Amino acid sequence: MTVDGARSWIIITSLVVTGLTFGFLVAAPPLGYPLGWDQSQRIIEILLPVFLGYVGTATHFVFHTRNQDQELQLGSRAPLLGLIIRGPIVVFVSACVVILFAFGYSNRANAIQGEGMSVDQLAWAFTAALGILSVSTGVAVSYLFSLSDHAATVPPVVPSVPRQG
Amino acid sequence: MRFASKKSNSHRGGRKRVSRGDRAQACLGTDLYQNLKILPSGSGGANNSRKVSCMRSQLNLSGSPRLLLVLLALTSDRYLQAQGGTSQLHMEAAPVELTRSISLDDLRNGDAALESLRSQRRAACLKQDTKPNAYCLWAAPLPTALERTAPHAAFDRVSGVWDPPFRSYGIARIQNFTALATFAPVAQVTEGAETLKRWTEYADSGQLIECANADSIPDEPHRWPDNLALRNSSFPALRAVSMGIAEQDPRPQKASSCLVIVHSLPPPSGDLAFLSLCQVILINGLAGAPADCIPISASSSTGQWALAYTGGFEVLLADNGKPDFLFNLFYSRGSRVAGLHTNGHLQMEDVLGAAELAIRSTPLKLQTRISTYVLGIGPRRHSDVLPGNWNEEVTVRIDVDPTYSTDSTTNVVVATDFDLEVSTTILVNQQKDSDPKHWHQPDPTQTQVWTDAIKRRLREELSHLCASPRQPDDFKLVCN
Repeated sequence: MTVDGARSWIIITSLVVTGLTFGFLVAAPPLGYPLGWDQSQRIIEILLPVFLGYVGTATHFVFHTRNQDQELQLGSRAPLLGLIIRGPIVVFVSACVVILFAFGYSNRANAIQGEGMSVDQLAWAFTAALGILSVSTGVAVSYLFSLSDHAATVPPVVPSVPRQG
Repeated sequence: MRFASKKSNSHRGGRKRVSRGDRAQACLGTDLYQNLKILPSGSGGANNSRKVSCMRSQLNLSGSPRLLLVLLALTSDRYLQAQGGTSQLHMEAAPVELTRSISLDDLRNGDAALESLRSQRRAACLKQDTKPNAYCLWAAPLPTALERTAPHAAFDRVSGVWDPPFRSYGIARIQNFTALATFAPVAQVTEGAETLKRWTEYADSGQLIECANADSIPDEPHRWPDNLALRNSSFPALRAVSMGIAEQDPRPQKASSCLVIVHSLPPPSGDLAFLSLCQVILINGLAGAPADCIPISASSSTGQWALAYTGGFEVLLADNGKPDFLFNLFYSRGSRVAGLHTNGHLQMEDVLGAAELAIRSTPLKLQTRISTYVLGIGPRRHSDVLPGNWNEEVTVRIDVDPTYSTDSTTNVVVATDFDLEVSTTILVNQQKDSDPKHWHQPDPTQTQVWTDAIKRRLREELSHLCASPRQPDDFKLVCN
């Protein structure tokens, strides 16, 4: 994956996740999914700012005129870029699907009383899932869409030399 | 033909309910929480009379203490009459409910009022024992002493000057009024912080406490309540009387009730959050929604208050059962009935049976028990009543109150008006989790849906009692 490819991937997935999340959580209450409007709003407030932050950073990057010609150099670590960009988002999306399924299933009409997932637990699960992004994609975004000089290039890797004793 | 109506009390069992009508006549009064009043105010004179009547009726004691108290009652009564029924004793026009409207200002005003009362009481004492809550010897004649020391309480509780630390409210069977207990700052309550912590833990866990094989609430009007405040009374005789006064359901069968502490009933008011003590009815081992809740603590960022025996004030601790509505069945002796009993006339048992069937069958499907009233509970379950994917927990109580109309010449009952007072407590949750904090009161629309469902079922079942039922309006059925 190239650096530009990584940027594109982040932008596209951020937009898709934003759209799907917003659409699902807004449509859920009237469609019988066991979430109230206020509860749905609470989950949106947890999820969306992260992805909107990615999109906003990318937008700023595209339209900013300074440092246009500088490019991020990853050197020998470039092969890891695809993994570090795609991996967390795939894990996050998978986790979200599982969380939403578990929440809906445990709160279905004929589920056992007292065994359902609460909204607090749902919010906790989404927050945990977002933690994966914050330690990986969030850092990556800060480099990929950085506008400052110091982050434009990653310092070259210096092979470690055993100390001479 | 002239009819004379007579209200029957014979079928009002189980507990002394504070229905809308009763509330306005309760034997209580204080202005400590004037701002909390949500009740219609009555006239001062009428309520003074009522108050004295209540005082007398509560003096159902024996032995020399009884004589002493009766003498005091008569003295007080004469004093009231001498005042022409005005509020010289500061007996308020209407009782006060500690329910949903407590504000931070109310609590602060209550603190100030309590301090003021204590000062007045001290001033009225010629000599006071140094022990806390001890008697004083009056420096003034009794009426003056009464005025200064018990402006808001029943006259028989006038004697002590109660100083902090106050004893915290004891978790006991719920009663509709608790004498001498008001909110006090936690710092002024004995082990206040620990008590509040313990109550919070109970609320967090939803643990049922104080379970008993009884409907738990003393019913008979004019009977001394099962009230821990009385045990703190300075009259030794009253302690003994109050110990064993809880009256059981006449036909409790195997049913029982418990208490539970809950969060947010009443709902938080601004910065204020409450803990409330509620009763849970159990039928066939299943628990209904916490009902008859009374707030026992209030917390905000600026302070914490706990219900404590502070002396001097009487506060009506009212339930939050809702919605309440009356359904009326009018039956005249000439009507043809499809009655369940063989004497050809509609009986109390028929009405109770129909009401029980109404809430036991689809769609309400409650666990029921018939006593002198009908109890129904729905344990936590998916709602077949509310639209959408809702879970509910329900307690319904139906009291049947007959009014007999008699022929004034023959004194024969010619018609009966059955008033069915329906009280429901419903908690809902869109999820099926067990956290008590997530079970909350329904919104007005949901409440209305439940009310309508009960009303519809009552109408259907009650109409089966009449050969030719007629329905003048939604709340009335006439047996033609």
